[in-house]
Amino acid sequence: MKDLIQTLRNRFRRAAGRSFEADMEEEIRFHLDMRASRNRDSGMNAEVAGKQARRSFGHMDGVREACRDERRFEFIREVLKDARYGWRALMRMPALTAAAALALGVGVGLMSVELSFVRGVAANMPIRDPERVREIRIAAKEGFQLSSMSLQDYQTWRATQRSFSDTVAFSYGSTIHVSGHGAYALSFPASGLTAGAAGTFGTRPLLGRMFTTEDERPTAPLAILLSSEIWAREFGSAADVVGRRLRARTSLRSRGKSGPAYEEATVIGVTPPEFATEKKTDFWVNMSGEQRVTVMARLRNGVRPETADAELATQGAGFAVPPEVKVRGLASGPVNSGAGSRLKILLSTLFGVVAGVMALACVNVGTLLTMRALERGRELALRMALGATRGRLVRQMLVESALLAGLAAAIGIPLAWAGVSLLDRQLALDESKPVWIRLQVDGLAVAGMFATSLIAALAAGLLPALRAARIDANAALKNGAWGSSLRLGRLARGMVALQSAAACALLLITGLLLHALLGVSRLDAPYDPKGVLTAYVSAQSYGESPSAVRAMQQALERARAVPGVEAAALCARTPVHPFTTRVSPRNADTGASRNGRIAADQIVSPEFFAVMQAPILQGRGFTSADREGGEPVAVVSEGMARLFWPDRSAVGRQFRGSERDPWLTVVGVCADLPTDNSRAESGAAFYRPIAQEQTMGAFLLLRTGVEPHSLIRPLRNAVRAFDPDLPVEKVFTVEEMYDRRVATPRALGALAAAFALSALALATVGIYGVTGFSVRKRMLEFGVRVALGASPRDMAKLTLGRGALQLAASLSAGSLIGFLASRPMLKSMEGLTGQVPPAAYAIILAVVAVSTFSALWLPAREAAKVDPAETLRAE
Amino acid sequence: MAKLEVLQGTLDLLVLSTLRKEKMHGFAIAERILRLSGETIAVEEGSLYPALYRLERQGLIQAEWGQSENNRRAKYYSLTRAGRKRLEEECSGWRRMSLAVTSVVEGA
Repeated sequence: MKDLIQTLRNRFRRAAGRSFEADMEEEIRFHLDMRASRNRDSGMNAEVAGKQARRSFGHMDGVREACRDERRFEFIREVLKDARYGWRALMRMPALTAAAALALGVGVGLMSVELSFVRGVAANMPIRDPERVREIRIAAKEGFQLSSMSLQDYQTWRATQRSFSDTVAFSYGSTIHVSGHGAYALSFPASGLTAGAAGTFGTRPLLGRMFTTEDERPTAPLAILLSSEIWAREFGSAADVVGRRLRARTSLRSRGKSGPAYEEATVIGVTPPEFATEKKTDFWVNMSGEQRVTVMARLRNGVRPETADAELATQGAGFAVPPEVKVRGLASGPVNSGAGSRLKILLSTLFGVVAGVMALACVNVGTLLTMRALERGRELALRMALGATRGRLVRQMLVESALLAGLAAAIGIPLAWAGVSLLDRQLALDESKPVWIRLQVDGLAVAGMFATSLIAALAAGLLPALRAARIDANAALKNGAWGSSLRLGRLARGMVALQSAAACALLLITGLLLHALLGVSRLDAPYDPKGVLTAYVSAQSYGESPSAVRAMQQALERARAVPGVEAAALCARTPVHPFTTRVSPRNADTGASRNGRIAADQIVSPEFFAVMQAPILQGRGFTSADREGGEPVAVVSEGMARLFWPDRSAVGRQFRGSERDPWLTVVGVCADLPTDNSRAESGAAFYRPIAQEQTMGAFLLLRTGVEPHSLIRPLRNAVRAFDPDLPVEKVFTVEEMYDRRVATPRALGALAAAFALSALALATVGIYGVTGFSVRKRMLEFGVRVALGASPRDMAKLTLGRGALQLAASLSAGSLIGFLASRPMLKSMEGLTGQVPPAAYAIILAVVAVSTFSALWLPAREAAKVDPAETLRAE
Repeated sequence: MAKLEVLQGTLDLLVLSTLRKEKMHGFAIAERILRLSGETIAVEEGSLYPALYRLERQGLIQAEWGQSENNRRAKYYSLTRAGRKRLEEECSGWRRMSLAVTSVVEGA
């Protein structure tokens, strides 16, 4: 305001023909002339008098510039000066500055990663006005809701309902086989869709059209909508793709038990990129027959959800539901419950931890800056005495805080960027997550975090500044180094205790999380996971009959003949993530089943144990004699044998799943194989022969000494030779497959590790800062003590003794808090991760103790080395 | 005795106290400071002017053009109300400060 008035006044003057410059020149000339005339009066000649006048005036241009500065760029100039001064002040204590900037920067960076992650994962299904779209469910009398209904019931309901302007049903998570496009039969993720998608979701096709009710007629030919991604990848973004004919088969068109057959299909359009359901879909088809569908509907204009619910409650009578469910009516809920709950649990835990880390960072920076301000008490008092106003000092402190926040941003923002791209690469591998989830550095999150760090730095800088501004110069100068050492002592001790307790709690939580997450991310296989190729062969089209198994065995024979394949086997479930089943052993005496335990449940061909290098330790493996109609047999893992029959041989024993299942007789025991499914207890697994089971598809496992990917083409050729319509899907090495399975836990694990380490680092820095500062504060006292004969050992004891006691107390408090806080977290992750061994707790405690102790030890060593003469002189 | 360097805050205080009784032009202010301090304080005469401009901007002094004793146009400075108030504050602050410094220096 003042500056504005000044500017206006300058304008006015200039308009009156008298500029600031002219005034200034006249004033300076007046001064020089006066001085010169005085000089002449004292006897100098005119020339010398003039020269002398200029000399005593000083640097002419410098003065002019200083005068101009005072008027024109006053505020900016002052701030710049403050910044320069502040920078020098920061650099006078480089270690402290680095520590504070690092603490804040890491805090900001990690928090931004976390926020970007949360916002990315919580991203909703891309729908226009999502709050107007409801998911229609069947409400059961028992109190729960069924999220799917039959396609026929949906069509009936659609014809009578009045609350919704557009409705759509889809059935996702299926596959489609496409033959005649390219050299091999291919398999793609597919979903069924009805008419009404464009209206309900508020999109329009990129090319062609969406489905209409015409496509829903039972006799309508197979019509295909391509996703924009597959259109680009498989069809080269061809503009004339609409109308193209393919041969395809999918269970989305199946009727009854006979498998789906190939039929003529026509591409009718391409969906826009944002059109997505939770499961990745490349082909949308007009489904028909017996399908369970998810229904979504857009409220008619002016209709409120409650009104719609009232109407829905009266509907749904006679809908097809499982026999044990009684229908009460229909109900609706918001779409987008968002990402899977397992991600949400992990996220909320991580979020708490990160908030803790950030708080720790802020507290630390606050402490460091407060310490620094206290240390600078004398400097501030002196500057006030020399005419600096309070406002000036406060502004100075604020500028310094802002500089610090700037440094923090320089560290934090690249960190956020690197962290987010790492996570995104990891998550991209996870096919179980909703497809619209993409991670990117969230500008809003970064800006928010930067603002937070700025506020933290400002708050930390402002409080001491305000205090300093109230400083009584007299007292501050007198007080000097002796000053506040007593009060500070208590503060410092409090900080150390708080920090190590917080670090301990945080580290315990993240450590446990980390253990749980990383526990699943190692695959300790006896075979080389890089050297085993897996490929899924779906024999769906053969129906649920022995001919499907025969087809797969044929595929196995062909695959075994491929040059480079050393051994080949079949297994019905993914080799790294088999199903689990609760099974109970048969009591040999009474014939009744005992308590069940959870074990991995795999179906394999006889060669499986050889391919996976899990030798049969007792009894036998499977033979061709284990066939349909024979006695149901199983091979169990060593872990399962130990669990059920710890003190005798497992061979010959029996167990079963549910009461309805037949007893399985153990014919052999094989070595344990690792899986990522830790629900199974201690490696417990059992294997059934594929010849005795009915399965719609199986993985080919090929062990090879050559580069596995080089086998893909010969393998496809071999399978095509026996059935040209049979696609070979999901061709990965076991390692690649495993990487995909654990991508998300691995990413979260890395994140948790980063958090845990930074919590520890921050706490250590904080403790070191506080202890170091209080040691420096007491240097004079230490000097006196040493001068009076205290030995280095006494000195170390003096500084360390109480610290160690406190450390013990705060570690116990911290670990108690961490332990209690981690209970619900570990409980919520049960089944997702492995058990936490007690050793993990011990290791975490030890790590915190060691790092805290060393943060205390370094300053103590410094104190022990005090040279009394030097210290006393310095004071 | 060596001449003392003048710190910025002090120069402002010196200028304000010089103007306590009457309005003066820049040259006279410089002369007064040099004379009253017994030439102990080294102030480059030019450095006075940025201080004057600063004090003017802060509203502590005001300037007007007038006739000098030798009939030339000169810029005269005088204290404003705010300047007088500031002067009183600074003086008492300075007294306490110098007392403190003296007691520390002589007591040490």
